[in-house]
Amino acid sequence: MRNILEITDATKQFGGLMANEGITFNVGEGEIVGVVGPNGAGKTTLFNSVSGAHTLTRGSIVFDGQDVTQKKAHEIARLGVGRTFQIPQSLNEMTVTENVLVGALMHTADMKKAAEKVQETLELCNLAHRKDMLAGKLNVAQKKRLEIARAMATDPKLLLLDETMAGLTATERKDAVDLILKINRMGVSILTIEHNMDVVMTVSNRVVVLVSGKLLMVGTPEEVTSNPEVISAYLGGGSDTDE
Amino acid sequence: MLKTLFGDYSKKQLAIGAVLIVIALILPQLTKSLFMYNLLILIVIWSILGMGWNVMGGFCGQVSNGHSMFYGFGAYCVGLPLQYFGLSPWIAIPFGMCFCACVAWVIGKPVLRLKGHAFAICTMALAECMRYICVNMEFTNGAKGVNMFKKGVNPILFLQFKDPRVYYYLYFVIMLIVLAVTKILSKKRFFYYLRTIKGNEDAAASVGIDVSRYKVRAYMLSAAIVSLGGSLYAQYMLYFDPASMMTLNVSMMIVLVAVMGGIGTVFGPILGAIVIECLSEFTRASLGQYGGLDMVLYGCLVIIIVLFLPGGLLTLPAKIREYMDRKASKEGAAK
Ligand SMILES: Nc1ncnc2c1ncn2[C@@H]1O[C@H](COP(=O)(O)OP(=O)(O)OP(=O)(O)O)[C@@H](O)[C@H]1O
Ligand SMILES: [Mg+2]
Repeated sequence: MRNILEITDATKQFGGLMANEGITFNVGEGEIVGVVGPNGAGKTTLFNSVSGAHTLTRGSIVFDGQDVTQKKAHEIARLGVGRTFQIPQSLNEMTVTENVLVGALMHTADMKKAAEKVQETLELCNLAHRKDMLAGKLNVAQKKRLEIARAMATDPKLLLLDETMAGLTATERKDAVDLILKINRMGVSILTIEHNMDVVMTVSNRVVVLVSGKLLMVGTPEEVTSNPEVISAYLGGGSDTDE
Repeated sequence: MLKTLFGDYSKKQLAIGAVLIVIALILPQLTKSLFMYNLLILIVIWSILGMGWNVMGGFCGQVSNGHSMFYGFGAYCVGLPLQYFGLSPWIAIPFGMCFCACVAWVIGKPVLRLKGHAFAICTMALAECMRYICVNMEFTNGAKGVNMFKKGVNPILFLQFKDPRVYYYLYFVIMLIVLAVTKILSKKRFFYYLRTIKGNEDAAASVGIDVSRYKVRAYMLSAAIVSLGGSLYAQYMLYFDPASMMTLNVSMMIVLVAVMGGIGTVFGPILGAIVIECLSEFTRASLGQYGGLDMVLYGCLVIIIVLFLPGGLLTLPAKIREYMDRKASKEGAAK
């Protein structure tokens, strides 16, 4: 299997704090990789490094055969990395359609073509019935789907999902799982941060465990859940499975 | 293109628009008062200034408090070439727009790294510096300003008309062109990107938008439009000086026009210009002799409007409708 993403020795320092330290793993093309770890483990920091929101202190990131370590966020997005934000960053004064449109405009300035892409994406993410609503008026679940829709409208090769399930009800979570699997079947590789262990087990081909900024282990969901170190560091530690 | 321009509006709205344009065209024929002519011309010029600022402050969310700099530069760009080379404003006005766009490009790169208040203060300081430079340079005639009146020149070639109404009609057409350009751009990727940047810069970058580059582009367009307004003002007055054009007051007025009408909307600045110019000219004319009372009243009115209509005057109809609905539903509940 070809690797879509290769993270080598990723290290990010904020002042005296090592938010990420020496993290190395790959995401294969077409794979869904889950990232788990306690609060403050450095999961979002890792996403920010991959998406170019900040640059690494040390280490390298190769996406689709290209070294993107020093590239800026918009350049990485154009290469095919879509992302969502842990706290939805919807454009509240714009409609749902417009929120998705700005994603669709990445590959074309043609409004007609972009509008088709928007329609398609809204249907995929089950937002078509809300298309004329202001994004600020959406509920949490819809805002999370809108985050995915905006990223999907850019036709990414790799999608970074930061806790898309947090704050959702059980039914909403099931819908979200279905959506992630559907997106993956469309050929998009996915790296997803997830607190809910059931969800991680259902969707991921492999799971990456981070603890205090370091990589604890990479393995299949079964390997991860049966590893005693993981259990004590994360699962056992009074975990927030339902956060 | 017609569809982009008019497609958003109902037949009723288009009819109202047409009526308003007709009124604007016959107004100057109904009066002989120079005060009224002056007011109408100022409204048109300030609409253009407001629309220019709005590209940057309204659509892109970068509030500049120093746009008087481009207003002044626009005036100098027609005044000085005329003084030194006898250049026609038909060439000088577009030159001024390009010049201001270049200035915006040069200063935009460093200045636009600043966010929010820092950006507002920095633009303000820059405009002040430029005013001092213009006041103190011999090349710009210093504080004396520039006198553009030339006897016996071709009125069309040099845009020097005896009848102020000619200025009004010409400027009105120019304003409509600026309006149409804004409307068309508001449907293009460029303006969607600006609004995305205003909404959230991280989200903008995540969909591949080069935030700093688009900010600079918005700043350039904004500067060019404001420069056009400055050129038109100078051309109408045929005299200007840096102390009256490049002050903080002017910068604030430009902001007010856009904010009061409806920030980030296509038509807001025109509405804002009508209200602000009427307010300031009428209060000045009727209360000006009581030393400053006009400014007090003017200030209070501005505060009231901004307090109660934060979305600008353009949101007034919606507010009224909301109020009526609430009243109606209360009455319904009482029954
Ligand atoms: N921009 C920043 N500046 C300074 N410190 C930061 C910054 N971003 C994150 N941190 C710190 O880095 C550490 C890791 O944060 P990160 O957000 O990556 O954790 P996380 O695994 O996503 O946690 P959570 O589950 O709460 O989202 C935290 O201690 C956080 O305070
Ligand atoms: Mg996080």
